[in-house]
Amino acid sequence: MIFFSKSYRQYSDEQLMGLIRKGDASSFDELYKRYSHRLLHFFYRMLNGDEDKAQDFLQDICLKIVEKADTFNPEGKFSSWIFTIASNMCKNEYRSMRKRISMDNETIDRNYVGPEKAIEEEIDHKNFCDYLYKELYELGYDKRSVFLLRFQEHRTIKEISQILGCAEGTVKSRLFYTTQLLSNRLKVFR
Amino acid sequence: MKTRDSKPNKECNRVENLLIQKSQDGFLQPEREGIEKHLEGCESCRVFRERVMSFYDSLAVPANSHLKPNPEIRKLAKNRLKQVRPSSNRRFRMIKKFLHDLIKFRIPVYQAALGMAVCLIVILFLNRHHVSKQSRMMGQIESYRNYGHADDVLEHIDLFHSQKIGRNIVEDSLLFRILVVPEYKHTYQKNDTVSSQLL
Repeated sequence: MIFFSKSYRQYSDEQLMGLIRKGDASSFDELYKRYSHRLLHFFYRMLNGDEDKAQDFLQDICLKIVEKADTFNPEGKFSSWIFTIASNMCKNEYRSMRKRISMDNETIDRNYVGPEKAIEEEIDHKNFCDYLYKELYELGYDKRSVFLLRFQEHRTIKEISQILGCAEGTVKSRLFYTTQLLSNRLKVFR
Repeated sequence: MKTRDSKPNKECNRVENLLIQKSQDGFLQPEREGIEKHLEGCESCRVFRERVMSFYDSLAVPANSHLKPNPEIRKLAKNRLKQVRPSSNRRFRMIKKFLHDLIKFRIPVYQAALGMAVCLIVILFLNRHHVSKQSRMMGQIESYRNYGHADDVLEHIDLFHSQKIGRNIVEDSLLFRILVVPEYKHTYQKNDTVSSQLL
């Protein structure tokens, strides 16, 4: 029987989605294997390093893949479709977070030590990552999502514009601004 | 040669934009050559390129990350998939299982129903066999009736109800002679007792 079993690794993401539409659970397994880590990290970075929330968002997006498989256009790219959903989820979360903050009159706790104060500390890759993430969490949704899609997910400008539903020029300017900003803030690690 | 302190010009902006927009292997040959040439003479852009590369390195999903998807998520989504989209294979398996259970009498309701169905088939078969025998007799009587002059005889002796026709070849041939051959008919008309004698 093992000789007749399908090797789902050979299938593209789009073909796997076609099989999911027909109710093939093994196709979902393969897609989950390919995207669960990436999506979890994307949510984790987008949601200020909140692991529980990132897990909740991953669960929601997995259910959306199953329930809304019919809305996926087989001629499009699955990765673009899934990251569009993911960034929309984050956008909604940002909106509700903003509402909560304004209602409760709370401020985000940013009790991290700036890089200037840590100059004397040992500067290594881990420190750089930590500071990069902290700087990243200070950025707004638009800049953060553009930055993560470019440098974490390796999406092209065109794909990012499709995912976020904005012009390529807007993506380029946001990306340029964010990269320059982070580059300047993290100068100390040079 | 430019130094990092020198003021970035338009070319620096163009190179920085390219470094941000495209990954290392995404440059066209003339772009790559142009960037390399510029980077040789511009330290600030070299620093910027290193920074961009470090973003890629820092943000890449590490293989041994502490962050792992909750295994329950996969199970939950798969169960949902089974609910929302039952596959054709799954339906086929269900039908197969149902038939298997039926044959193995694992479903008691169907055991009784199957018994009743078998009884019904037997009754229908027997009934049909009985009807066919009766209809054969009726057919034979009808053939005698075609000889119109024998009607009164048939009515008189009530052959059908006494089941005299179709039981015995000798009796049948005797009746045929009485009913069909004219001399016998004549005899019958003369003598009322002939039929009772013959029968």
